[in-house]
Amino acid sequence: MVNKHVNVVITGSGAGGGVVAKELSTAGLSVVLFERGGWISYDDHTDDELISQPSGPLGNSCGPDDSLYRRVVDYPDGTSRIVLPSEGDYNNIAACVGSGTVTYAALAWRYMREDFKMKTTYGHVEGSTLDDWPISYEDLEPYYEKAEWEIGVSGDDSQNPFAPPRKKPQPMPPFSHNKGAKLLHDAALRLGLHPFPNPFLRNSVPYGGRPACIRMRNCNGSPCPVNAKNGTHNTVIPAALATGNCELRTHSVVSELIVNDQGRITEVTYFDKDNRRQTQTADIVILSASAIETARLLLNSKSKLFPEGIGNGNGWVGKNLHGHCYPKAHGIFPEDVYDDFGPGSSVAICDFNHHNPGIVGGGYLTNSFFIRPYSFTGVRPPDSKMWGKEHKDFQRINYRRIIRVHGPYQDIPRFDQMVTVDPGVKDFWGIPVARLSPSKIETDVEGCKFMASKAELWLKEAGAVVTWKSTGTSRAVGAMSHQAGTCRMGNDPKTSVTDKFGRIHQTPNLFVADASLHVTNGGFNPALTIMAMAYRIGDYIASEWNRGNKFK
Amino acid sequence: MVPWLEFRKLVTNIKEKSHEKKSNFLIRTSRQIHTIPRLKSHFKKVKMMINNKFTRRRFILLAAAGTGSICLLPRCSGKDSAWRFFTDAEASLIDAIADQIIPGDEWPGGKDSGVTNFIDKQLIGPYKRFQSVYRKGIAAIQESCQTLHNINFEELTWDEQTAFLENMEAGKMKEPVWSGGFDREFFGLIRDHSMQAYYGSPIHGGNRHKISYKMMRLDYPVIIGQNRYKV
Repeated sequence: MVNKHVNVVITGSGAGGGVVAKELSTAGLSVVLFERGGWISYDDHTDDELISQPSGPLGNSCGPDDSLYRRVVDYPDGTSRIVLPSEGDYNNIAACVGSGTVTYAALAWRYMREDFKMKTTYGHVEGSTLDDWPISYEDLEPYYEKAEWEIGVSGDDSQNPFAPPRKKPQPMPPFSHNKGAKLLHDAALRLGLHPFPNPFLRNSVPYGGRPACIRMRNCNGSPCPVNAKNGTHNTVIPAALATGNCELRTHSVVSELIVNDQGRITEVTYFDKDNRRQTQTADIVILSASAIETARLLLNSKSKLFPEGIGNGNGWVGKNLHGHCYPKAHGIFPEDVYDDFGPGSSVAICDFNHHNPGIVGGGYLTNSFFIRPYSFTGVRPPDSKMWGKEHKDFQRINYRRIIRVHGPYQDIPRFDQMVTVDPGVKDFWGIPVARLSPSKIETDVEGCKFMASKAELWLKEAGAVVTWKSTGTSRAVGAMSHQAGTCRMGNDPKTSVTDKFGRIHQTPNLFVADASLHVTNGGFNPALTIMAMAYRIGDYIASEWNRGNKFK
Repeated sequence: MVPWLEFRKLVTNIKEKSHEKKSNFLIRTSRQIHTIPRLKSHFKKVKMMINNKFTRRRFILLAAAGTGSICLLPRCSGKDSAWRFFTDAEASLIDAIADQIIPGDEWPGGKDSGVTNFIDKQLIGPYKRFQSVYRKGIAAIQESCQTLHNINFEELTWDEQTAFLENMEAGKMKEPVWSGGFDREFFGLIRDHSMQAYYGSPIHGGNRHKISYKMMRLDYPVIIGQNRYKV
């Protein structure tokens, strides 16, 4: 059976792919949206901690499946090993319709103006590839707004003096604080900081035909039982399908992009739900498979014209892989601070996102989501017994008395932290897997220490009697679900992979629409920025197409 | 053959093998019954199996009386076990370690909460890759106990057991079998798996009667929209 030719093929239905699919199908283009997983139902997946995303030890309830996928991970000591998706070092993102937006924490941050101008703000940083984005916050602002209103965001930026300017408020009011967050809110005010409620892609009131959040304790890492968490799976993808122009092809794994002698992508090959090899021709191909998988697909698509992989003439595909470190502090309070009013995280401060003395970037700080029982077994002050009677007593007495404050610290991109493909290790379909290599240049430990000490100070002011902190840096590549940077966009084709609209420099009809594009990754969760970028790219392609530009 | 076909063959083989194993783990003791999801039909099966077991025992006893030897018991070959992966002897060691890692007090300890059942269940599932580590580690523990104390781990006093595990955790084991940091690695593995069993969802075979959730004053199961009453 030969698949009917379409205008657009999109690989991956997450934050980027779902949005682009909707933008292009509503503009009248025919679209095939590929997704390696399937639709998720809550009944099948529940909120079981041991199979929750991103790395439940017994597997990932929303995929990827341990029996199908592998990655190779290098460690700083020169060793390497094959890892399964259920292991932390895999750096997985859910494999299902909506991908990470089904299971994410749903924080809805706009990056700040400085986040797009890191080199201008901080100058050259030795050993890094720190640079400015080819676009500014102002270029992206209308698309942030579109993402907030179409997908649904609750929050109130007017309470955050560091928030970048906006034309319209967020569409839903912010969430109220639970007991722990109230303590932190008041403490931040006493410290002269500027606390405000976190923005979320989660309904604080009914929105978009779906109900309000029920504040259950488990949210981060699980699908929502009442559909109050907003992802692409319950907003833009249904809208795309409703146009009649978009076909969602689930359980289909795209393996290679085929390029003709003119450097134009003509088709993609993929394995369908019965693991049969198929091809799909298209006028335009858009990659939105996440920073690691998008790079892997480009690197696996070798041809006479692109012997090192498509778009990789300058060797930049897969480089600059980064995510966030998570500096953190824990505090034990003299009485219960846990009131089971979920899912936990609600108060934030942006006082340390930029302009910290001696530090490049920074990040926001917030109270964490409720720590689940098994994860809590690892939460102990330094030098505590990690098993036995003392450990069990701690679990029983302190579970309801602990608050964790943490935040994503802006990771400075380094060229040698990268994704390559390992031809010796293959996945279920025989496709060479991604190999993740950490940078030889150390993470900014000083910056992480600075953030952790601020977190600790905040907890102490809130009344914590015992506190401890950690830098939250990892031994291997710790890009996790915030992975970014592997197909950096830029104006100079020598030091970037795509132009400022996400089009791969050497190919006229191949685009990227995921966090691979991010030059830097802000001190924030990246989901809303991925969505905004996808709206911008979709807008560009649709308007060019309808003006007669067929990207030949 | 294309690579993915080989891969699938591999997976199918694994599935077939685990299917073979089923005949073994269908015989369950009461300690496993609570993990069975569809209770009614399974209770019937279990009842049948228990009855079968009794009949078999009676048969064996009769046979033993007849021949004057009890070595007709399948256990003598070491292959029959009430467990899916562990032998009975291995399971009794894991029981003892689980109680050290999570001791019983007014709340049940590791053994009574089903830690061994959890690990046994995962070792033929997601933790298949740890099978050889467990086989090797369990043998190494008993071997070291025999060398040091001339008895098995379970027969050591409580404090001796604790000290033994502390040495493993600290990487201080002297016997060559532990070289290359295997003592720390294996202890870390059992520690993590015991915690997963005790504090994870009961659906996976541990946390019997949701005991850890009750201990931590978490109402479970989460009743949608109603999970905030005082407990």
